[in-house]
Amino acid sequence: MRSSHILGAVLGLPLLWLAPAAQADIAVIVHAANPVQQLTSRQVAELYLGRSRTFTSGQYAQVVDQGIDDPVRSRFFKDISGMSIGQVTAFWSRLKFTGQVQPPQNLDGDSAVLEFVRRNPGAIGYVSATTLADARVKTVLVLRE
Amino acid sequence: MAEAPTQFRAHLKHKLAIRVTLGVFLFALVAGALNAWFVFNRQYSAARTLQDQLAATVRSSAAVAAFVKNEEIARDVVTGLMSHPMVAEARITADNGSTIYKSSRAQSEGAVEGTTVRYSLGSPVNATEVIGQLEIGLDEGYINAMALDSAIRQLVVLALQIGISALLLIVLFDFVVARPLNKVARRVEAVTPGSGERLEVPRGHADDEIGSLVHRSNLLLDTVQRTLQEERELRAKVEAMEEHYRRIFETTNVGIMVLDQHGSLINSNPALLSRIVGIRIDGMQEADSSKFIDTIFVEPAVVWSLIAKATASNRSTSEDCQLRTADGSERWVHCIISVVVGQKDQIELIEGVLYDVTDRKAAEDRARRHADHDALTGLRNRRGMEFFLDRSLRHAAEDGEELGVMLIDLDGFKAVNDTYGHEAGDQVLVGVAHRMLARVRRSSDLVARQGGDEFVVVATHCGPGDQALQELAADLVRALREPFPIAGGEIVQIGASIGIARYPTHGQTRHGLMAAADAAMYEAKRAGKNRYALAEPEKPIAG
Repeated sequence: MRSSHILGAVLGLPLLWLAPAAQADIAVIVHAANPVQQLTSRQVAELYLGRSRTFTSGQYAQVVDQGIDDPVRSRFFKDISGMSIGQVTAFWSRLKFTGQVQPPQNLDGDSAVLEFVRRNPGAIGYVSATTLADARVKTVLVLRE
Repeated sequence: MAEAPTQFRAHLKHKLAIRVTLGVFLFALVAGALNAWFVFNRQYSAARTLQDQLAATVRSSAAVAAFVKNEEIARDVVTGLMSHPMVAEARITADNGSTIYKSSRAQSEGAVEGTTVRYSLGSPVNATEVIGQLEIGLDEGYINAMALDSAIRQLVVLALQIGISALLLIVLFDFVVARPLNKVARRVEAVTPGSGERLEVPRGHADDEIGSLVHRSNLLLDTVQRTLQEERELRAKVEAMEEHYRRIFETTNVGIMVLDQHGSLINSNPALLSRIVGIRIDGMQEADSSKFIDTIFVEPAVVWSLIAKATASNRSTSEDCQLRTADGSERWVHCIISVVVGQKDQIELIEGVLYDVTDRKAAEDRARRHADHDALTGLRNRRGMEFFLDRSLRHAAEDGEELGVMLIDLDGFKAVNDTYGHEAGDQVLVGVAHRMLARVRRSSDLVARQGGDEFVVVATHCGPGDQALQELAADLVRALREPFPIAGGEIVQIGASIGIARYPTHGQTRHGLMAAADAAMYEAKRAGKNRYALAEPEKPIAG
């Protein structure tokens, strides 16, 4: 895991540097084999805020999040739920203390997210649309700039 | 008398206490009811507010619980809500209506219905989207108990406040009003009416009602003193005057009597009874007192007519009246009668003033006797005879009776007078008078000495054709023919010629009768003396 972090950082850095000039769209992605073709932002929000645990197909959803301080994460939650990162953190902290529900796993960088989605058929994640060039994942929602 | 002020003060205080207590009680009743109503309203309104506040407090947590349908969070929220004693029930439901978590107090299950409020839970993602409900029900019993507790607490405070105020009022009243009043009352009691004593104004009350009361009481005392002083002086004057009059009343020789309309004695002075009437007051019996006039006067009718005259004329009337005396002696009083007439013209009082005129009356009687009687023989003289005859004629005319007059002239008297002297003549005249009186026995008849040796007999109540007159005349002639012994052992003889006239046969008047009798007497003389002659019948005589 540690090596993948370093790798992600190495691979991701130049991309990030390019990104600020023209902020890219955010693509919500699932495993290519996932029968879900399209998701609304509401559906995405319910998955990311723990309201839904499964896709419409009934398949258990493995939700991954970007790094805690990643700017894309802030944009993502703003777009799907209108909540700021602070609000999201507060929301989850309420749920976490019950001990039953855990927030989505945080992965640093698009490549780590991509890698996770590629490997897990039930996974869902989001990445910058510019970095997306993979046939093993499927874009189900594009959050436009 | 001595306890009265204490009673008064206690009374006033108690009165105030009772009224204040009653007032406080009524006020507390009304205020308590109003207050309870307010308290209940406020309590319920406060409960609603609290309900909303509680909901607002847990809303976001509840929303999260509903959003993720998390029972743990829901329980946490509900348990938190239930920790407030006012909350009877709390429930969080999801958007599909299923209950995520619910809790309620068993004992207040039924009381929740009306107070339950549903709060919509908005989605954390989109606040306008309802993703569940939060229901909070309140415990009415608890609210009521709280309200009641609050109401009672406030009522107690209110009652305490009023009670203390009332107590303070009563105590103050006692000190400020009752005690000074009581003090004044005691001083008023201590003051002797009419003395120079005056009330003091209790300290600190100079300018209030109590001061005014004292001031006015003092003015009243001034007036009382003045009035009493005047009355005392007046009474002294009246007493002096009374004493004066009493002394007059008691020491005067004039008898004073006050009688009622029936002639009963009401009052009299000592002179009347002891000196004038001659009886002692303690010896007088009730009956004597009640018929005083009838008891003391010989002729009560005279006094009653005086009273009647005085009543009619409304003036004093007076008359000499003879008093009845124990020893039969004559006693005369001059009696002045005044009558006090009441409003309905009835006699209220009879006042009589009596003074002894016995001596004067005796002198008068002597004078009258002297005028009417012959000093030598004691018989009536001409004047007395004429007075008697006039009266007898009036009576005879009124009663339709007859009356006889005899004119008696002595025969041979002048010779006795010339031979034996005047004293012998006088002795014969006295003897003639005695013999005539001895034969003219009827009290209604009269023997009089006309003058010189002429005598007159008036015989009343003579029947018509009565022989009694002639018999009497014959008897007189006989009697006077008898010899008279005179001083010096001598015996003289005289005679009498008598003329008889009758009323109304021989004359209607005294003059007529006397003239007829005179003519008859001369007839007897002419016929030879020592005889009697009747007047000429049916001979009208003028005068």
